[in-house]
Amino acid sequence: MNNDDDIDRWVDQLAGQKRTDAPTDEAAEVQALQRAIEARALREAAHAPLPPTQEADDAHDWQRMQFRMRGEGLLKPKRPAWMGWPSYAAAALLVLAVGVGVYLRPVDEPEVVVAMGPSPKFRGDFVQIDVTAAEPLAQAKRLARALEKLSAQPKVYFFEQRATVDFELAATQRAAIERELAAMAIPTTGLKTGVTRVIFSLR
Amino acid sequence: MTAPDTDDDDDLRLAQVAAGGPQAERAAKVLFDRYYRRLQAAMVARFRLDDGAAKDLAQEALIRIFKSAAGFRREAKVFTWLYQVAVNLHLDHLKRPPVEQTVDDAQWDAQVALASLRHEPDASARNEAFVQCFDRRFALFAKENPKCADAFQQVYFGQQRLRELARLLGISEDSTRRRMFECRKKLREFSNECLPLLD
Repeated sequence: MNNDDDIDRWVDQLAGQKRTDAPTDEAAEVQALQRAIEARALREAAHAPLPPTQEADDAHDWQRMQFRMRGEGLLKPKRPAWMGWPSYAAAALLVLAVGVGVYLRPVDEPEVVVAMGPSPKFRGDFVQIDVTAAEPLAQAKRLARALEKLSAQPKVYFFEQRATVDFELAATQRAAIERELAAMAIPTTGLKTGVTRVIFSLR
Repeated sequence: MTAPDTDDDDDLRLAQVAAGGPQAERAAKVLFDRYYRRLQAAMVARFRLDDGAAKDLAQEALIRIFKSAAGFRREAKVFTWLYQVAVNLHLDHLKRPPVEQTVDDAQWDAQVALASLRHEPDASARNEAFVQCFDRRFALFAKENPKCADAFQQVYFGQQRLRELARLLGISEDSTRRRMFECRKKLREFSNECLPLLD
């Protein structure tokens, strides 16, 4: 066999092609070389300087990570803040009701914080659903409240008459979230786990 | 002034994530801050992924190690573990044929080739001494012959045969063949001492 055949076969194997005509020692050599190349790449990656990044990107990526971790049961779902002090809240409301003598409406909805500005730009894969509504912000808040109860950690943005709700659709909550969306006549076809964005525009 | 993080700190944080208690989220955040962007950059370099795909891969790898944090073997470093998980995840992803899509012979060969890149633990255990020796010798070889090492890496990571490599380098196939031959010769000058360790 000449050297040309030999080196062609050797390079083929290094590139991941199966060559049944290769001697055992040569196959072992190539496999060891592949591992050594991986190890070299790993060493370089572990010490390479990192490119600069936007702080907002990191914050957003960490938020996505938290969503995923909650969905996988690695972190406990966040409870709304009002659930942390139910006894104090109940006592305060009672005092207020007795002392002032006013009618108390039941407080069972978590507050929705709305960011007055454009929603962040997403990179990577996410699902976007566009719907029209007579009152975009009211609809967005309603959806956000429902999602908050399902620990989907919605974020609401309002800008130029458009209200955007971003949330993470976790596998464990998928059915419940789909029900909520369907109840608000929001289409659920094409939904999948991960980052999801619903945009309410003025009808 | 705070002391720099150590591997022991990583062990502790993984244990906290595994325990799932009140410290889990903070521990996960520290590990995320420490490794996420580095892993993302490594995947861009290793597989030439765009930023979005590399982020998804880095996130998935972190989730995987968090899920199996209780089984972390202390002899490995966390970044090494993460890197290997991410590489295997991506190779698995590439291997998976698209749903309801037929593959022709060439595509099938490509899938088989990718499958062969995955490390097989049995083979690894059998030839561990040889592999470790080879790894040490290759590191020395790469230091003295960085262009050869880069060419090998290009072939392996890019799954490029001689013809594609020649096109990439902008030289003839014959020249490429000669260069690769010389590079392999130099490599063997370094690695021959490992051969007796081979089964």
